Parts: sequence; structure tokens; C-alpha cells
Amino acid sequence: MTNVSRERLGYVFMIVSVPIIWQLAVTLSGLQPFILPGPGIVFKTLGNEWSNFLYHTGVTMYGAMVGYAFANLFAISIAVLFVYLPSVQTFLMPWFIVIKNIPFVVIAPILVITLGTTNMPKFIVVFLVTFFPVLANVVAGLRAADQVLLDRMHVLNATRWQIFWKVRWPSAIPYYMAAHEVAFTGSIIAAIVAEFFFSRTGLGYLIVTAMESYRADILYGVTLIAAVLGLSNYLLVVWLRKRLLRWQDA
Amino acid sequence: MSPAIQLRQLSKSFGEIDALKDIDLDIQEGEFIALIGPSGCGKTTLLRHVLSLETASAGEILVGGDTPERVRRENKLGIVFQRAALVPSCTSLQNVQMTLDITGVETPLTPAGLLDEFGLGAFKDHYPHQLSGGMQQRVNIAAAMVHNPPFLMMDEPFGALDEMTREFMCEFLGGVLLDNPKTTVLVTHSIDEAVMLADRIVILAPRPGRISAIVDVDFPRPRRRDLKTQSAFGEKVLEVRRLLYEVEEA
Repeated sequence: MTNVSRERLGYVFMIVSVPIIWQLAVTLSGLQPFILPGPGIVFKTLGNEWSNFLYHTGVTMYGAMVGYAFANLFAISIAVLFVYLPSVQTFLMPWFIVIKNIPFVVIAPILVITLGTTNMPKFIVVFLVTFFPVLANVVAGLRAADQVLLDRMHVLNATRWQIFWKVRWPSAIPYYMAAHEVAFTGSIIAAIVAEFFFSRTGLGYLIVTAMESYRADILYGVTLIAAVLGLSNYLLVVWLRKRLLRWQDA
Repeated sequence: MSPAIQLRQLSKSFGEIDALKDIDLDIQEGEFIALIGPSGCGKTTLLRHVLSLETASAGEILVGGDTPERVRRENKLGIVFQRAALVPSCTSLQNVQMTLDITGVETPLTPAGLLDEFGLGAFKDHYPHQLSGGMQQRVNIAAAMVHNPPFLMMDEPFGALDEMTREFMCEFLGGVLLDNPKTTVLVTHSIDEAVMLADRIVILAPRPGRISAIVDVDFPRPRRRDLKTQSAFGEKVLEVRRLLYEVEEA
């Protein structure tokens, strides 16, 4: 069996195991369904209220993707500035270190008070959570460019753009993809947590209302959706990574 | 006719350390010079000056009657480092083509034709990690020569190869340069390699880096591997070795 088939089999085994283990936990614990609903109840709720779940999932995904897109745009731009203009890094790093180390759950309520219950606080929270890992990895990747190749480019009188495009960026791609593995899933977590605070839509909002009304079936439904989203994101990044770095497997 | 490369009282200091001191050397057009000497004697530093990768603390360098910087801008320099300066995500052909893309030089040489000539016709679409060390170095040399520069600088190009591959590569390089004559400077630790390839061997002494002796090598070309079995070759190697011992003992 190849490594790829073994990996796929692992995922299939996990997907089949989850409802079995879950049902076993329900049966063995004897807990009431309003505390620990079985997979049957949760899947039934998901089926009955699918349009509701779909809508809120869409809202969360939209918030996560917009914040993440901006985080990537700014992280890559600033990483390039750091590498080509080190003085920019000297100036910005103290700010970044402070912002990075303020827990985003503390920032979220401040953003809600300042910006109101628009989508903007959610975008910013997602941005703050995902920006730094992408920035750190892209800077490391751009700086990891082979010095011998850089010398070759210099001798060939390459422009800065040529050096970036032919040497630095290819060197940064593996680092960038590694950042995605963490940050892409992180964007959904950040969007859900941001929705706890103020939103009237999104999976975070569903969690809050389900808790208030003791709807464990909805809570577990959201958990399932979040798990599927996280796993899908991860697999998408793995697929992208394989496509972008397919030369490594040649 | 004025020399192709002229070093006049070239000196270079790194802080308190004199890496090079009052180097005077004329290299004729089409001549092959090997720089040899103990570690830290400034061989690579000297080469980097000719490539305009370093700026002299004192003295003058003229390459083709011009400054190295201007010669570099005119794409008249080719460089081969010990480690192949190849982009890992590009095939052999793309790596050689890259030189033409960057320099924009039009030459009768084509990347595919050169790779064929170098015995790598079947490996054009291979990535560097799929090639042996010797093959990588041949791609590297093709990439350094495809824009047909009149000056070729080589910094221990075969240093990472095994003995037999080194021998093959020496013969191969000698043949290539016989067909495409260039003014060549080779930095090497190998006396055999220097005697096999060079018209003159420049022996450098360390602390500060300076020329200790120059040995003429007048074996006819092409020089085949079996030259090494001849007593004249052995005597020349011995002569260089003795001079190197003197340098180290001084």
C-alpha cells in the first residue's frame, strides 16, 4: 500500500469511527440528550435546519476569508518591505510584538465598542490572528534564499524584481504554505470567537444562542460543521502545497 | 595587447584583517589561471573582486579594460560556484534559460543545444535534486556559459565531487573551453585540478593574502585524463606542492 492510500485510509477510518465512538459515549454515560445528544439527533437537527446552518456557516466563512485575504495581502507586502528595507522592520517590529501579544479576545470587545456591530471587528480579529504567522513565515522564507543563487543573480545583473520572482519567492513558497496550514484554520476559529461578542449571525452567534436555550443538538451540529470546515481547509492547503511544490516529488 | 584582467596593487581589509595585500597580476585574453593556496589566503575574496561582489580597499582592477562593475552590467561575466547555483523548482533547461532571460543577451548558443553538448540531453526536464553532483555542476556550467561571456570565474566548482567525477569534469571543462575559449580564473584546493586545467598557477600566501609564486603549465591541449599518468605531470604537481609547503611553513 502506498503512503497516499494509507493516509486516505486513515481519514476514512476516522470518519467512520467518530459516530461509533460518539454513540458509545452516549450509551455508556447515560447522559440526557439535552446534555449529550447522540449522532442521530444531531444529524437530524442538521438535516431539519440545514438552510439555517448553511446561512450561518456562509456568514462565518465570509468573515474568515475576507480577514484572511487582507492578512495575506498585508503580510506578504510587509514581508517584502522587511527584506528589502530592513529599516522598516526596525521601526515596525516593536509595534508588531506588542499587538501580537495582546490576546485577541481582549481586543474584540474594544473593536465592537469602537466600530459597532458591523463585520469590521470580525475582519480585524481574523486579520490579527492570521497576519503574524504568515508574516513571520514569509519573511523567513524570503531570507532563506540561497546565497549562491543570489550571487549568481547579482553577477547576471538581475533586477530586484527578477531576484524576487526567480529566487526569493520560490524559496518562500514552502514557508508560506506551512503558515497556511496553521493560519487558514485559525481564520475560522477567529471568526467564530469574534461572533461570540456581538454578532447576530454566524456560527459563533449560533453557539451563543444554542447555549442560552440549552440546544446541545445545535452546539454539536456547529462543532461538526466547524470540524469539517477546519479539515477541509487543511486538506485544501495540503493539496495546494502538493501542486505548488510538485517538483519536490518528481 | 593589454591584458584581459589586470590587478594593480589590489588590497582588501575586513576590519583589522588584511585579506589581500598589494596583489599585482595580469591575465591574458583566453588564459586559464588557477588560484591555489592554503585556506584563508584570500583566493575567493580575490575572485569576488573580479566579479564586483566585493569592493577593493585599495588598488585597481580592470576587466577588459573596464571596471568589474561595468563589465558585470554588460553581462560579460560567467560564474560557477562550488555549490550549483540552480533554482530547485526549475528544470535543468529552465535553469540554463534563466541566464538568457535575465541578461537578455542574444547568443548563437541555445540552452537545449548546450545541454545536449554537455551530455545532458536526456536530463533537460529533470529538476536539480534528480541529478547527480556532476550533472548538477554541468548544468551550472551551462548556465554560466550560455550567454557566452568572455570571462569565466569558478570558485572550487568541483570541490564537492568525488575523485572520479572530478577527473571527468576537469577533462570535460578543458574540452568545453577549447571549443569556447574564455579568460578563466579558477579557485581550487586541488593541485591536480590546477595542473590539469591551468596555463598558469598562482600560489597565494595567507595573512595577508599575497602572491607567493606563479608556475607556468605548458602541457599541450586538449589535456586528457591519462596526462596524470605521465611523469611530467607528476613533476609539475610536485613543484606546486613544494611551493605550497613553503608558503605554509613561512
